[in-house]
Amino acid sequence: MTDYELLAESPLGGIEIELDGFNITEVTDKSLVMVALPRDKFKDVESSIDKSCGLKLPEMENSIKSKDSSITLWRLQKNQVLAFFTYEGNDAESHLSGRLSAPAYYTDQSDTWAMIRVSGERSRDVLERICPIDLSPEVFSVGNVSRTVMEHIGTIIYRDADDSYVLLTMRSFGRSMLHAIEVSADNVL
Amino acid sequence: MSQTNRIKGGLINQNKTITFTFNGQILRGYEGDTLASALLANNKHLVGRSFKYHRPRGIVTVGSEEPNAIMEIGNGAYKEPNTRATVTQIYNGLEARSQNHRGPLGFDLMAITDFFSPMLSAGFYYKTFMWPKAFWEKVYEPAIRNSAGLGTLSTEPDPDTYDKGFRYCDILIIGAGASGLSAALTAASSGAKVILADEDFLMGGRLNSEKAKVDEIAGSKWAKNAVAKLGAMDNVTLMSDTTIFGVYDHGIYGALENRSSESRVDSNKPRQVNWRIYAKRSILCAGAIERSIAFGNNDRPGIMLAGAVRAYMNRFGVATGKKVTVYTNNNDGWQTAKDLRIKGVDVVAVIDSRSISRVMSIQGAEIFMGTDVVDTKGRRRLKSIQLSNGKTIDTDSLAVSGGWNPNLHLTCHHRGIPKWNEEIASFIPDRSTPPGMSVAGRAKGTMALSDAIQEGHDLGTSVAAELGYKAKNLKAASTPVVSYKIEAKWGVPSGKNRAWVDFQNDVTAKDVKLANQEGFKSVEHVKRYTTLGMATDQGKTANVLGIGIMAENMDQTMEETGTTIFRPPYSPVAVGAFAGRRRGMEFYPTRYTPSHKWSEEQGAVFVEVGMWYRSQWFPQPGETHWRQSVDREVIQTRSSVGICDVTTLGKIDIKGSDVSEFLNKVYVNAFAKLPVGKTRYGLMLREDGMAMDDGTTARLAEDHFVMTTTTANAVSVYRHLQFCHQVLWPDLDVHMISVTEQYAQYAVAGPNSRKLLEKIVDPEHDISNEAFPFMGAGAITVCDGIPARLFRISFSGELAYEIAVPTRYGDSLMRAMMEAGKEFDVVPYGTEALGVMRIEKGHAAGPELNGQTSAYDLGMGGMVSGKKDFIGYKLGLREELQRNDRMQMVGFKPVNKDDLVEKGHSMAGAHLLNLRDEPTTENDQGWISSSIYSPMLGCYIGLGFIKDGLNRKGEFVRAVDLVRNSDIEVEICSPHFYDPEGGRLRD
Repeated sequence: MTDYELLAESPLGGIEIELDGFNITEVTDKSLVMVALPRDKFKDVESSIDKSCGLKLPEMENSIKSKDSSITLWRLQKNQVLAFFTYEGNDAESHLSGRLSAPAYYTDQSDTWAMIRVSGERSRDVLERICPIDLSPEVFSVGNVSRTVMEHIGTIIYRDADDSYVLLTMRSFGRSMLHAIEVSADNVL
Repeated sequence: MSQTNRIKGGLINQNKTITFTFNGQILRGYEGDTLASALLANNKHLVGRSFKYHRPRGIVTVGSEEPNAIMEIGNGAYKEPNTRATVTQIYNGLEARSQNHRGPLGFDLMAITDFFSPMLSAGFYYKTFMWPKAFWEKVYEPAIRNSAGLGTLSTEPDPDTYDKGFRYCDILIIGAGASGLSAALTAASSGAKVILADEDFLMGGRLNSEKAKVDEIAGSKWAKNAVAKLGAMDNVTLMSDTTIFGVYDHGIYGALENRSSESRVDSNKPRQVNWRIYAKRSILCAGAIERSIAFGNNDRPGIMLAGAVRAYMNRFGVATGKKVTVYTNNNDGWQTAKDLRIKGVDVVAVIDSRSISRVMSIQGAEIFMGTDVVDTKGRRRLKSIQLSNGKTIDTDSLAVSGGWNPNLHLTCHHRGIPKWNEEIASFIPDRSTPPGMSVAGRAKGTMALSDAIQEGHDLGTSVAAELGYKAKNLKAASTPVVSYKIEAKWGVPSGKNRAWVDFQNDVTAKDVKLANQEGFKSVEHVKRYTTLGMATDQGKTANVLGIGIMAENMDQTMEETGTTIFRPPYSPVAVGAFAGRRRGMEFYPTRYTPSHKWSEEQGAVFVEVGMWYRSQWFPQPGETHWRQSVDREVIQTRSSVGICDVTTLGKIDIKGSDVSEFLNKVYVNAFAKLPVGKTRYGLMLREDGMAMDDGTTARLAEDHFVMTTTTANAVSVYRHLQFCHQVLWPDLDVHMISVTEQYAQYAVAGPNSRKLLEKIVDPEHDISNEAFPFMGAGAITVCDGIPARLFRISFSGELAYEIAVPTRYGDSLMRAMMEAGKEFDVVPYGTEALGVMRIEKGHAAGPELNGQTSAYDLGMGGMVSGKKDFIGYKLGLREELQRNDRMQMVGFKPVNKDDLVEKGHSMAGAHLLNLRDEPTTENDQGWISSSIYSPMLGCYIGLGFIKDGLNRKGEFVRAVDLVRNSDIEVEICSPHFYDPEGGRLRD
């Protein structure tokens, strides 16, 4: 027992901004863990996650949800998936490995990223000022995920609903990304 | 009287008056006017002076090709020079000023140059300012520059904002005239995603300027209906006032959207948006640009292109004169005369250079066939013209048509070369258009409106089909068939009168001839020698005319003469639009460390390290110089304890059953047998044997390692490891991911560091020297169960640790440690103190790992394993890298400890010389790479490279800094200035 208590702080202090047809919200209730797939255990992993959570390995740049929708797997590389799931504790690796029960390597990435949800009917109008990939609804469908660069910042973009996108940027860039979104909103709305 | 030249009709709103100023005079126009149409409505024909001779010049065209009517718009910092009046939509409060004159526009003092014009022919500068040679730079060039140039800059930062954006489409249609709209209608009916862009703020192209009916209604009305129909479709994006200025690789198009009207209402809104459009296909429907004919004094205000005269009348309700004449070499010129008569404007004469029968009857006009205009009169406004038959005609407006040039510029942005078409006497696109681009309508040379509509209509269908879309079976719009017939006419013999080819650059037919006579045969050379086709309009109205004159001079075909190369941008783009929002602090993003907020509260001075903001030092009350802060931080750390945020160092988690083998291959030293719970320093080389990066790697489990890299190389080392894994050794079971941002990491250094950490680390983790010795590593918990990692490593040379917690606790941990360390007088230290301590300790860093140094050069030859292969091993054995007299890293300390103290600068950057040598390149012995004032040694010290340094310890040389004018004697010594035995860090 020490005399000191550590308080957790989200990258953007849980910011919420509501504009006309456009909202910016920091995602604070999710964890992210990299699940690396050992070369000789691909099949084992596939059967394990199917059995434990009803999950399959998604196609590239796509995602898949567990039966209870609490875990979403994103596929951005062949030999790994990113698990995006509801969990706010300090041990995301153990929590996820317990849920998936799969022989993979787990590395916590929850604190690596600032996660910003942009949503609303004007979300694509705002994002087209900074996002170089095609966000047309029919091209970047709900569930699609991609890695790109916005305003010089490496970014993962995930479409989690019709008019809702989650942007992940390295935590240290969080303020710059938030600023970029705000400037876009100012310019467009 | 206001708007004396205004007539009824047009597509402007004559119920909405707009007030603007021109050279300070208040004028009025109507909503929908351009600045040019409003000036003409107010009978302002003289709108500027020419570039070289300061000749009075008037409006010539009605579009972005305008060579003369370029103005300064706005005032103060908002002033923008070289703005084309022909594309500037007027607004209340617009301030326009003419350019290129000293004194009033009507009495330009510089017009005297016109009288010296016989001396100022092509190549004048090159021929005249040759002697004396020394005068060029000091006298001639400043004088020429002072009188040259188009407009003036405000010299203040541009207060407007700009933005950029990205859009995707299946089909980009460039130009919303008759063929563009027809193409858009069929393409959009297929469901394909269409972007229709037009540089005009009113879509419709020439349909807005012509009387021709389409589908039995006015062409402008048909265009308006088509635009409305397209605007209602979800799969269509309309971008008016948007210029497609460049065609780049892979179907990328540069598009500049003008949003000035929005930014005037709200100055926070961007004035322009620079779009990057990704299109699978494009259809160029950019229409055509009319050209002039080179006859004597063809540049007077009041002489305009015939199509422009028609447009000002039909679209803007402006008659360009009371008594208009038309001079043409093609049938389209006659249309101007016809339209003028319909509007009741007097047409004095129609002069056609062709010896054919008259094309049509024009009521009240004299008709001259096979006749040319050879001279004109009227300095500030046209008064009369003289014909080749000797007749003089009084006229105040001359409409000239030398034919229409397909607007094919964008087809050439991938080096396409236009080909000559005799039938329309102009160049048309060849087949080498940029990939995915098709061309329709007048841009392709299809001059008849009916054919252009059909062509656009068909292309919209066929291009959509190429992408798998099926257009609806629509009927192409119908319009009466009007043929276009022309006989090329370039120059007219004009005696001593100058016949102007390029109005903007004051190039005459005689200049072109002179260039040809002087041996300039290539069209590109003639352009550079005469300036034909340069500057803001890039010769849009002049190029083909100039080429025609060249071809005649050299008795060769147009095809043989060829064209100059069209490059982006198609029309001028403000530099601000390229910069977009990336100005000032937004030039690039910033990265903040977990302790940033806390550091701000302490008044830290920050330094940019890459994109990171790191605390450089923490000034305390009473400290007036940074050295005082840094010395204090060093002394306090070395005597008790200090804390530094080292989160920025790269951290890579590497997991898998083959990681130890993998690390063995990338580091010079062995890692295979590193025990769990231990850290090892590692040096990695590039393939060529030069040092790439260094850092420590800890083994946290049998199959789990965590590597640290320098801040600067965090990304490049990760990329290198990925390359090694994916390309060199893909069979190894290795998985890695950056955890740089996952953990907030702090160096806790100094003799009391353990005592401090014992107050933070949960008691079940024993961090005593015995349980957690130097180079120990492991997972622990802190502050009641928060997961953490602890490494006993030292950059400072003191008993030291690096402690890492999930970044969410980074700020809190910093505060907790500072609180816990109060009893030890804990001090935060910044990157300067970090640097001082590493140099005192003799650690190599960025200045030493400069890509030219091997492990041996750095004094780390002993680390290199001879028992294994690793990256850089083979090439590290090169004879050159084994030489003893290479530059080797050693330490340097001044013989006189007070040296440089008064001057207050270090030895960094000084070159090393033998004691009696002159400071010349051939005497150079090496250099000081890093140097600081050492508070522990009480003098400046340095690390550096000198030939055969490792064998020269104890020798004396000089450190000479010619930039800062210092020359001191220094002793070559061990780089380990402080605690060379390393006892302190093992305690």
